[in-house]
Amino acid sequence: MLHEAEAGWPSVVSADLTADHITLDDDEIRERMSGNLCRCAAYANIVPAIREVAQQALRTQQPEQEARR
Amino acid sequence: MNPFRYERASDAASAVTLLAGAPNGVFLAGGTNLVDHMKLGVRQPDLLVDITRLPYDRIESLPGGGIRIGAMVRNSDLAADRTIRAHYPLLAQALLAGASGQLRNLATTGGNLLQRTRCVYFQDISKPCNKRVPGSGCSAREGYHRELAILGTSEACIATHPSDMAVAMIALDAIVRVLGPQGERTIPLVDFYRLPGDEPQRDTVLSHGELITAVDLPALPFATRSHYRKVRDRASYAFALVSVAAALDVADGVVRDVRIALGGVAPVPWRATKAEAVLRGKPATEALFRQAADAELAGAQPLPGNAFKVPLARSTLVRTLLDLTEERNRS
Repeated sequence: MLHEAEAGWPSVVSADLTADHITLDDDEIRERMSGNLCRCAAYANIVPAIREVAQQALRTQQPEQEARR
Repeated sequence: MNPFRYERASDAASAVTLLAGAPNGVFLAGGTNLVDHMKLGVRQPDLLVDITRLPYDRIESLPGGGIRIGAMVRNSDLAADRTIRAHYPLLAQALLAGASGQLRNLATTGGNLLQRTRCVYFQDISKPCNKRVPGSGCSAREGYHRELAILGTSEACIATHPSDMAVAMIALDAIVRVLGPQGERTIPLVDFYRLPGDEPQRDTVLSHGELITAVDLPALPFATRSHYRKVRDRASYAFALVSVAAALDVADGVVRDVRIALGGVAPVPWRATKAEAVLRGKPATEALFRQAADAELAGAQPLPGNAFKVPLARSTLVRTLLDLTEERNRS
């Protein structure tokens, strides 16, 4: 799901279908986790946890990209 | 457990030949609907012809404009395709509104068109259903029919077609390419589906053994401004109560051209030709949009449990057209 967002694949809640970059806000995370996790009693911290992992992935990527320049 | 044979087709001609010799056989693609039906006992094929290795997994531009979508292209790949996203956004949105990521990864373009209704009685083999067992009766008419059809129904059947993708495609004048024992033929998608009449068991005009190879979308430049709006009981992973696929071409405040289809309201993806006729050549106003929606829904025959769909379809259609008009005004 993080890779799909990274590749710019839109979801049904994405406002711009042709954007190159997907910002994983709470709505995007919830939609993209639909079908991956049961939603009947969704634990509130799932969304912040995914946001944190997505941001960590971005942080580790950016220094690498800087180094390549 | 019902025993069945399994054959993996290496080419299209042998797939068609294999099935032609097996009256109770079926093609197997993504299996997201068929395999469920086999588990439930809704279908008991004696032969599965696996067509997933056939070379129909490409999305190609057509020489005269338009696009050819191979029947084996997965729903997720079609939704992510850059050309589809840019030129036919209503189709990308319809695909993304359907099922879940895992199902979209498996489900194919051809299989999506051939989905069966999710009417609870069709899927419950302990209950009568004219679509599953012709002549057994319809349990839904007097029973639970909240999700079922208000347009195009018959005494025998009030099922709805479940596809989101097909609603967008029918608005886009898609053409289905088919290979059968008699050779190739093309069928406009709008003629591909059958209304139930007194033969609700036949969803489409396909004959036994005919294989969908591709879906062609003609060029439609104004479809860059198009939208698929789906109304459902929860925000994700649910079938449509009502959906609208629309593309709108407005110039100087006048509707030059328009394509509209409705989902969740009929036994087929419903092309809204009456609404389109009201709109063409008239000033694009909310009053006109309401008039168009009323024209399309005038023939609705709701039942007590699904009468809410008439005002819901009207509002959803008007809102979708307003959004498309306002989008144009902003840019």
